[in-house]
Amino acid sequence: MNVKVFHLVKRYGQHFALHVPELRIASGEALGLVGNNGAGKTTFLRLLLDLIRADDGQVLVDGQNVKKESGWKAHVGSYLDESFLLDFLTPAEFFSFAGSVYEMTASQIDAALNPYRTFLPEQALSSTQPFIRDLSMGNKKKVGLVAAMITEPRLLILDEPFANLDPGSQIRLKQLLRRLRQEHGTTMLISSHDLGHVTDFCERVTLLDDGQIVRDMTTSEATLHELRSYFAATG
Amino acid sequence: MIYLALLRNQWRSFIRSFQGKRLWLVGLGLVPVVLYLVLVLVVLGLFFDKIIRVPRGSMGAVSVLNSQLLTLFFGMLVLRFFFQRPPRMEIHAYLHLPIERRHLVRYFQGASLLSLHNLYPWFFIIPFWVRYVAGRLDLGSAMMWLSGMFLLVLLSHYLNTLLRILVDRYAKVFLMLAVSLIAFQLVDQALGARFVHHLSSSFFNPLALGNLRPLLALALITPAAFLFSSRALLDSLRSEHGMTSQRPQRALPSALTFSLSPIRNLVVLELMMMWRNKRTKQYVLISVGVSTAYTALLLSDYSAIFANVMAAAVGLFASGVFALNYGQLMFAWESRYFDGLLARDIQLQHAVLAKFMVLMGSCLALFIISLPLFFWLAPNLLMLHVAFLFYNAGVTSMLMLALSVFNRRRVNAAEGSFFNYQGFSIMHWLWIIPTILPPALLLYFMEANPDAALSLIASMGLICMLLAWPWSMLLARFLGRRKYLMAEGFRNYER
Repeated sequence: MNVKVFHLVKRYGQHFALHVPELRIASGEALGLVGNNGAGKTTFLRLLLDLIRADDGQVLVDGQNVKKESGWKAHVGSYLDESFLLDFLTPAEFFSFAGSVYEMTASQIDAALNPYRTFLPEQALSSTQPFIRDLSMGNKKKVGLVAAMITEPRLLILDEPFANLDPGSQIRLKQLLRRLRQEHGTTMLISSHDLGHVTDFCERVTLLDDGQIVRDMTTSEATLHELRSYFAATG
Repeated sequence: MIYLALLRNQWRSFIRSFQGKRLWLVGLGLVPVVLYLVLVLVVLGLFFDKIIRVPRGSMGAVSVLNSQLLTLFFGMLVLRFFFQRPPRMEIHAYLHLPIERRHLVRYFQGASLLSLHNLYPWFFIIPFWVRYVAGRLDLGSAMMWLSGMFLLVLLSHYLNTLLRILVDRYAKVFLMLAVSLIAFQLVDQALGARFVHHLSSSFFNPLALGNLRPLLALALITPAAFLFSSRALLDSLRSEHGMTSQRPQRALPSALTFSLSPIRNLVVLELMMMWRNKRTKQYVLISVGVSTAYTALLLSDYSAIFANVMAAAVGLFASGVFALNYGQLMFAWESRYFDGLLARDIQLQHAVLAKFMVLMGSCLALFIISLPLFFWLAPNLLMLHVAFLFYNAGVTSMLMLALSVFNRRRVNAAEGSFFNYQGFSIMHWLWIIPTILPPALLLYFMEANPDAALSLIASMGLICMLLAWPWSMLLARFLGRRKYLMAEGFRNYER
């Protein structure tokens, strides 16, 4: 699934929160989005998901304008924050709901969960499950990430997926994301402050500063060093 | 110094809770209500003998009140239990700081005395004391009676703190005790034994006669309640009880599992959200409990109701109270996960229809619950009840859903609903007008032909239900335009 962004503008009062003249993400590509706090990363992701109204410009997902059409949602998985969790459900109920929205049967959901069983907290799949709201922050995030991935989306949008996860889970998450890409050719857009993970996983990194794309680079061995130098200078 | 810093923070918290709110709007609604309540208490205190119809006598009013004090004490305790915030909620923010916990407990136990619950009883007690006690008893006895009242208010304050902590630990025991106490009171009244009255009289009457023993008993029990509640408060700060509720969840009944039917799934989701969040659950319980009791109260004098605009209120209330209360915030209940729902492949029209079905179902459920009351107390109003079932299910539910699309204030459904107006604005109070006006006008202008009026009212509801698909489509379109504003508002906490 490809993504095309043209002249995308979001203003809050006189302040430009985001101004992206053009950005194209090819089908199957993994794009990392980095930037300081307030750079516009989450705003950009929300605009892609049609959660906030753009002041100008458009976002096309496989040629569909996200603002005018809704067919693209059937192929997109996303997890930005806890507002994507229905915290009064148990994890199993939440997976069941998330799967049902994407027209998956109970057995399909069960099968889709198999690769994620070692990633999820033990209690999330036990017979005595707590509600999601009773889980720790890291475990909540795991539930949200898995709910976004089990539907085998063609486009996956994640905001800070590695934050709040223990080191083992961060590594396991990268493996799961790689598997998803290999098996389903999923296009991925991942925003993160963890430069190591982003440069390790994404073949392309886009750097946002004050709402504008200041770098858009193909990942190489030098990328991590370049990014660190940039943030050291601007931080 | 510590106490001063804590006091300063509490003052800031109090002052800043008003910031960003339209105070004149709050004042407009709240001031008259508060003044009215104060006036009711003062008048009740001053004219107790006339209002209660006490037979004339030197100790009449005092002895009547004394016989009720125990019941009033438990009533006050119940009010506190549901409405008064325990100090524990305010202490948690300070626990990580190098302040001794016993100092924190001592401070918050003291500061918690600045509660409305310790103030409002005095709007009754002082006028009553001036009118019936001070002038008629000798000064010593009058002062002793007043001191007894002071200790009684204080005792209920600390007993409430203690109970609030204990209920977390021993919920089942507490529930059994509460049920036993209510059952005892009901049996006592039904049998006419008046045991509670006699007990109350035998304790408080001697106090009014200058006997020191009841006062001493209160003077011992009240500090004991303070000490026990302080101890329990201190212990509870280290307890993990109440921090999480990781209870094993039983498997859902098959009717409440998700399937491939999108509208059914959304109905199931709404029902689960309703039952598993504190505020929404309280709306359900209040609607069933209080509305039934209130309907019974209104129907007990039904002869005055019909051929009167009040009939519209009764009909609206009996089966539509849940739709009226809960329905106003229909989308705001989901404010904590509104973004997540928008990002998923959920058609907005399906969301509207699912919510409409939930509200219609609530009207039917309340209709059935209150039906025996109509049979028993006012069989003449059965047709009204039926007509308003259709009206509430069709028109009221639709109007409430339409109103809820205008809401863009974040609501935390997990918080309690008592004195919690989060999400409500003046518009929600005014919305009752277009809801009640059509049936009220029909009943008023067609007084001579009430059956025709009721048929029209029912028809309006039926038409709305039959046209659910087209109007839900229109509402979904409107929701599609409003969703950005709603989502933005829902992301922010009340400023």
